[in-house]
Amino acid sequence: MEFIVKSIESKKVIWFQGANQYLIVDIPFYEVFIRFINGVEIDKLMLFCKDKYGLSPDDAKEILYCSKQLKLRLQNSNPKIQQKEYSKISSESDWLIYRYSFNFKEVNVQFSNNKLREIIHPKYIHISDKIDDNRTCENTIIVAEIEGWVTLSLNDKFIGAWTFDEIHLLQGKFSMVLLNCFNDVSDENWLAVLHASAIYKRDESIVFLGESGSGKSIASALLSVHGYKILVDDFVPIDAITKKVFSFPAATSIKEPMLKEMEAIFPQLGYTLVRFKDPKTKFKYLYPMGWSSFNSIQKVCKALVFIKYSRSGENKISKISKINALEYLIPDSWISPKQENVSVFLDWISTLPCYVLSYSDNEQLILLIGKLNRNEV
Amino acid sequence: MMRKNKKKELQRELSRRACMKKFAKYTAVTALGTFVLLSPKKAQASSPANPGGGF
Repeated sequence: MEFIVKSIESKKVIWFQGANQYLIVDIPFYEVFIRFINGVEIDKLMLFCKDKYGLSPDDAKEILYCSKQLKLRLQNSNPKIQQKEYSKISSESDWLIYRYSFNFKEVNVQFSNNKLREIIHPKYIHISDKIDDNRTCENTIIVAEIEGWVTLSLNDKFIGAWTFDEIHLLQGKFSMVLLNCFNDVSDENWLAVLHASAIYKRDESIVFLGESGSGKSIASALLSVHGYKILVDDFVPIDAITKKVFSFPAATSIKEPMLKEMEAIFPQLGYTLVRFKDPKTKFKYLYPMGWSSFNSIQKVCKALVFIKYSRSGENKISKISKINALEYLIPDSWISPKQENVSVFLDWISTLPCYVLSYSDNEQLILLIGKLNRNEV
Repeated sequence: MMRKNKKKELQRELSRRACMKKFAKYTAVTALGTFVLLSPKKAQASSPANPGGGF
């Protein structure tokens, strides 16, 4: 069983390569478990529990039972998922074809029907041109509906197929493929992609995390008219070598009622951002002006901030443990399963300051982020 | 003051347990401490079309 162990605060964090799972554990349990998976005999382990930790035989048996269950779970996880496979998919004359431009790269994006375009394209309108010809581009992404499946391919290479119920996975994979094309890299060049939003000022970025609906995007948008710039929304790539947060030009999506509230407080929003209304989801997309002319930007991450908006409640920011941050972050992120990257990822997290920010008042949010930025928290 | 701190501590612990319950593959409290087994996302994903509740 291949694994990596890191000490973070008072715990051990163990990543298991085969299962691609992370175990966060107190050190005494770790000491027994690690001996168990290394094949130390049960009698010797019982003695170790008694001598080192003064455990009763019943407690020691319970520890060994848990260790066995844990080992079984790690061995039996990661079942091979049957993926629908398609060979080469060729575009047809009535397909909708766009050219996406960013970071001085052009990508040809083809949708087989309007429904698929509506699912993916609204976030990229500001970097796209509709084209009629199929002029050769270095990269061509095809999104096509075949027998009820939505397929994604890059340069004639099949990437995956999803049902319409799994459309967020298609959207995520599409973003990843586009990110790789714009930066001329592949998946293993990234440490992780966080479900987060990031803003920046000068050379540093602040990453906002939290469940969908927690207010990450709104916080970013509000701060973007108060001295910060949006680096990336919803999909935060971290470079495996520099550990910097990369920009990605997808528009910020905000639910319409929230946007109205924001405009009342910050009328300049309407002037600095162009909007596109998606009639089905009742989202509005905020497009920072001039994205298409921008080169890719990379910023050092100053802090991870878990954000929570509520209509009433305290406005405060406080430090949280890195372990607590990891417990939220791991299940909500794609983390590279490459061994070297996992090691770098855990080192990166162990040095990053982590905070929880609760807010009900937008002005207070701006004040609190200002404090964080000036190292006053 | 002590009571307030205890209450805060309890709230923090409860929210941590709620998180573990929601995300953890396998978690336990034993005589030698706790453990939690977590899986990262198998693929990159974007937000669901209809955002849910709070953090």
